[in-house]
Amino acid sequence: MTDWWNTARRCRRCAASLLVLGLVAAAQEAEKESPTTVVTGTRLPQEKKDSAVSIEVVTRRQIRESGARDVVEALQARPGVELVQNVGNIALRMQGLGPEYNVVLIDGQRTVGRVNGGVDLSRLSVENIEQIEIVKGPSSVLWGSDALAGTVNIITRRPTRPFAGDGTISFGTLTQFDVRAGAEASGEGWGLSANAGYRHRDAYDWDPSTPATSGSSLDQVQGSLRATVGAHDDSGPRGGARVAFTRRAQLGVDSSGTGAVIDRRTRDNILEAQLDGRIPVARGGLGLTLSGSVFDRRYILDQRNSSALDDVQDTLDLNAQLDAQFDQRLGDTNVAVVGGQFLYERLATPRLNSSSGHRVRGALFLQDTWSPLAALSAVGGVRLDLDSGFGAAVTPRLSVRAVPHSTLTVRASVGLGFRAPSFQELLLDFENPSVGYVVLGNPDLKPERSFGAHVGLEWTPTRLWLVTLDGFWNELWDMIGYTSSSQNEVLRYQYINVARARSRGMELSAGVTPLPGLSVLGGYTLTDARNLTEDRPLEAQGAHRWFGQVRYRNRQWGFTAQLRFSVTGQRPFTTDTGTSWSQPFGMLDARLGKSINPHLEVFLAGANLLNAGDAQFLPIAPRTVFAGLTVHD
Amino acid sequence: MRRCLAGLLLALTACEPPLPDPWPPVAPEENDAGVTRVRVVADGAGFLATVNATDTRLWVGLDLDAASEASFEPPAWDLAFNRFHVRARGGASGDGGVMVAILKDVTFEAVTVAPVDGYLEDLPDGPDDNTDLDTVFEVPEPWYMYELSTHILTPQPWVYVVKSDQQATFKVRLDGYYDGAGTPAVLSVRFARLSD
Repeated sequence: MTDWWNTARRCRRCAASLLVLGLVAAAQEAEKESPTTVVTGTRLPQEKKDSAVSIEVVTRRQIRESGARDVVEALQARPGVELVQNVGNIALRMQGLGPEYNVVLIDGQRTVGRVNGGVDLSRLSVENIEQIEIVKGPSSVLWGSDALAGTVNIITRRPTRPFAGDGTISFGTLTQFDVRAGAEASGEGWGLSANAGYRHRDAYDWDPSTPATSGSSLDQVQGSLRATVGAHDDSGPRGGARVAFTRRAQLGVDSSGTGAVIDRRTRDNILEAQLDGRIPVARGGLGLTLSGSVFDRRYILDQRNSSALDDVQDTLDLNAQLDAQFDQRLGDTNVAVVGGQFLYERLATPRLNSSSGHRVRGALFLQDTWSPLAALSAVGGVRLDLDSGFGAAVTPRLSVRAVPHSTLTVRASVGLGFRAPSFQELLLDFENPSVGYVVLGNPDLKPERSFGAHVGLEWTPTRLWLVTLDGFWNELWDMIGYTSSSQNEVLRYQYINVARARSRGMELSAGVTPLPGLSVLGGYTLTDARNLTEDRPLEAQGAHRWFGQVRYRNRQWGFTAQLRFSVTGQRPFTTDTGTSWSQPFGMLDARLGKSINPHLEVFLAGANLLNAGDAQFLPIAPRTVFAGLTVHD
Repeated sequence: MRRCLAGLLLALTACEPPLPDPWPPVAPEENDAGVTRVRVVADGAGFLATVNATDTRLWVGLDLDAASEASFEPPAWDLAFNRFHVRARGGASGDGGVMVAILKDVTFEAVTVAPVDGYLEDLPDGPDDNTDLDTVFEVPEPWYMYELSTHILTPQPWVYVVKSDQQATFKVRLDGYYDGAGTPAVLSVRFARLSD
């Protein structure tokens, strides 16, 4: 007994010593972390900790260590972000609201090609991403339409290193093949970078009893070029140009209860170009950005054993945007931003009653950041949008950050948001030939409007712990829904501003670095999202979600390991017979990496290791395992 | 590292997505206005007509007396089809004098004699939420059952006795709305002449 006691006591001492050493080393490691600069919350670069607007950041290193190949994988198991598979996209849900209530930006410019309300984030490869910034709550004051529940801004890399490059190649089940590479060079007053990638994945099927596939096969190539001149930061005049191209082909099979089997082919070409420049003016600067993007889709239906349901549909979605922004420091406590935005959108598709639609929108915004104390800052702003279709929308916002104690930061934000009706909602004239229902647009639609409030607490009791608690409340008016009528028993749907909705909830997350190189994050989200008009839960929004991740990095061994998981509770889906609830599901991703030398790493990774999925409510890719190597400078 | 990068870049340039062949694809075959839309085959004591009514712009005529496709304009048809709509050329649908009686509790084979009465004609649009004629085949009860969750149409098991424009009587049953490939609006129409 005595021996056992002594041994146990020695072990406890050793463990305590190890823990102390670990905490010290972890603290030292934490100190090495460079401060993260963010821009999306206020349109001005500032340290994340100083931002009055709640913002999440996924850094390039986190992306690399997670093994993510696209933005979907990069955002898995993140606080406040839920990724959902819809027809034609994998898109974001935030604060209980669907993809149409979130805006996805690339370097502050709107992305093109929303399908069924959302931008397909799986098309956005990660090879040239510097960081992903996620703003929770209304941001229409800065980013205009759709920024009701959240804003995701993908910041691409700027070439700032003399010569550098990296690349990844991997193979896996489901005949996955992924290869990506990038290189950059820069000198005094210039920079150049290029990235390219190719990806393949087979189709998959959760219900072999039908000929239909659950997910299409994918072939995607993408590339981008970037050139910069002038200063590498805001200290002097600078300019830049970026062009990116993505081509993807997806093949799948649809089947209907009538027995029709249809091969479906989708080919997308996406071109994005951007010119930007900024000159310092007095105690601030003037920035201009001109961007344009084209989403060109060919959608082909090829019925087996017949040509009656064959169809070819070409869709051209064009977006041009001009942003001007003037910011100026006023005194020691204020930074003012005045900006304007001009947006032109055009959509051409045979599904519209006039084959095409276009609109223009101009906006003016004004913002002031007031920082009277290091422990107190506030950002107030207002924006006026004038749309050729629906007229005016005014969206103010006020955000406050207070640090009542050195370990506690409180952020609160209230604001209005709006979502412009999409072209489909305005002008659609679509008859589903295989099943016979009709969906009609409504040119008289008004924009959806929202009021949102967000409060976040950030508590760092020690340098090793970070605990966050967020609460949100969104009220929506004039939500666009369907009205249905039957004509000779065949259903006709038409869009109308019909619904009131509310989403509210809280999110708790805790992260700790208990040992050198080891970090653990876990959290829980409770969401209550309801369509108040119809007194039913909002589509596909579950009440409960748990998430977490464990990361371990041992520099001496050159070893990294990461485990990410999420558990989503039951989700409601509206069917013709009422509301159906999906089963809870868990997602588990893992990655192991081992450095061969300072520039080369081999890795083994698995996605959806619990093999969650079904054909009806969760048609995501099944369990896959892949391995590869990464080269980096 | 530079050699590795060069190798990766070389691999990238060699990769092209294997797009479907042919690409861009040939436009799908379009229905030509000149094509035959009704095929009639002998089926026991009667006939089985397959009516391609997929084109929403066209009415496809069926001549029961001749057991063949018939011109819709100028009218030579007894029954006409457009998607799930069915007209009989009498009353509001035309001057052919075609009338229809509906027999609900009898099988097609059991009908050997035309009923004496109960014949109806198509009527002008009544007080409902559409502007279509109120045809015998659709009002007050349509010839099909509509499954809301799947949008699938299934024919009612009813027999329609049709007095043609030649004043001959036929028993008619709509057997299906889809062809073997699952295409909607390809109707199977079984009919047989009844003794006078």
